[in-house]
Amino acid sequence: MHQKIDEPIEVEVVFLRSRIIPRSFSWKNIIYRIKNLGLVHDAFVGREKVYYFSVSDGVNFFKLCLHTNSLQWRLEEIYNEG
Amino acid sequence: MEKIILHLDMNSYFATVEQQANPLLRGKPVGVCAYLSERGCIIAASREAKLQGVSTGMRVFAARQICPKIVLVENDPPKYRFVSKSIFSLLKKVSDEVEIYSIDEAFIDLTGLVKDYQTAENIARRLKVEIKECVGSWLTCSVGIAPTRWLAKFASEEKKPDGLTVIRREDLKTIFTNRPLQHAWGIASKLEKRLKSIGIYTLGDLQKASAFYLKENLGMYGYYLWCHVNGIEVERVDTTRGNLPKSIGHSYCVPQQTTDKKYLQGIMAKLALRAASRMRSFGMQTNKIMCGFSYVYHGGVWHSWRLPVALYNSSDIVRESARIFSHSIEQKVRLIAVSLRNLTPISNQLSLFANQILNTNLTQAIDKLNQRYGEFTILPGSVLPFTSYAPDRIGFRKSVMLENIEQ
Repeated sequence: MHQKIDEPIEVEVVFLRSRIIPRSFSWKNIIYRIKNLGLVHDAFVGREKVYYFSVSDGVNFFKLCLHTNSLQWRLEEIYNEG
Repeated sequence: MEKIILHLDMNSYFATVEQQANPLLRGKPVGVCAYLSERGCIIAASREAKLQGVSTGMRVFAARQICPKIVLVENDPPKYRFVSKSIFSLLKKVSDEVEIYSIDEAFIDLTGLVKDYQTAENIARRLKVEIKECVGSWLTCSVGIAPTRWLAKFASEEKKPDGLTVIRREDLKTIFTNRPLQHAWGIASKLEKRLKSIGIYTLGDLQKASAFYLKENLGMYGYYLWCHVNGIEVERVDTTRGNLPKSIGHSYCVPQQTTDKKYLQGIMAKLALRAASRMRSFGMQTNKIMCGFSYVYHGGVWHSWRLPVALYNSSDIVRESARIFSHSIEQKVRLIAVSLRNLTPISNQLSLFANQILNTNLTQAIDKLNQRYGEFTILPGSVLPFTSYAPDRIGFRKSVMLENIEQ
């Protein structure tokens, strides 16, 4: 089931071979360990570049985004099979 | 020198990209929709969904009936554009003779770059591997290699998904024998009827028919079809396709099918604003408008008209497109569209009229603000109730503007 969220989150990342790889993030006091990075894509919202990270902890799918102007991370969307 | 053309076609593209992004969807029937309402359409179905009978254009409620386990996902154009850009950049490393035909298809002219079909096949195999390694492991494509552009696309459609088909000139003797007409690119049901009415029932018949006979009965298009199946090139790989549009337009299936003129005018205005803004981003102005609406059942109202002067400003284009509503709306409308045609580069000649200069300055200022802060940050008040309608979509048009990929 897909759910739109759009809430701020705290993300732990690794910078590796010119890439940003999220390792875990915290949302509503729960820490989610990322097991799979499916896709990274970017888009412009006005002049601001936003990076979208499609990740999974094996049970849930999360769409995270990084706003490059504010350097804020947000959780855009969740999908799980529940 | 014999030409060698490669055609690459990503398989079940939007759905596969969604499965690439979300591993929980892999191996499952997935339908990508323009809108997630029951009356919305499936615009791309995953291979798993297609095996259960789900097809492009099917309504969501119908897809759910034949495939109750289908997972429906709302389409995400920025994601597909980004992935397309990544794929096409790999193709451009092979050759600069690349024609981006659509969001998920491209031609490469390998003539002169490779000496034989075997080398071309090796390039195709390497591209398939690179797409998986560099873009996404779930992405597959079908590739066709042939001596003409048309045959290369025909070849790529022979095996899906993840196919690689080569058609050599000597294969033309047998490849079309008893093949149904609609297997050919460019022949749909209407043309098939016409061909059958003149005694052509298969692609083999088309190949053996006289070019003169086809031209007499179907005009130049009939002649081109004959050329295609006989391996005669009529259209080279066009590396400039997508650089400048010949027309720009938008259509929208309205969520609320209605005869309410004010509602439909508001949505038409939004489509016109978007088309106008895109037109100006290419530095162009329009000399002709086509717009109209289709009814839920049969028919609709569609008109195109030449403009007495070329238009550039949003307000002028919105006003022109609204003229279609001088016609009465006799039934509930399901689709509205506007297209700006006969585009020409913007004239730098100043208008004699002060209000026209003011309008142009205002349009340019609004464009700057919308580019900086996002589409429709500034918009006419009459369009405000419709901001959630007609969101960003990737059209089914075949000539893709590079800006649609490079956004």
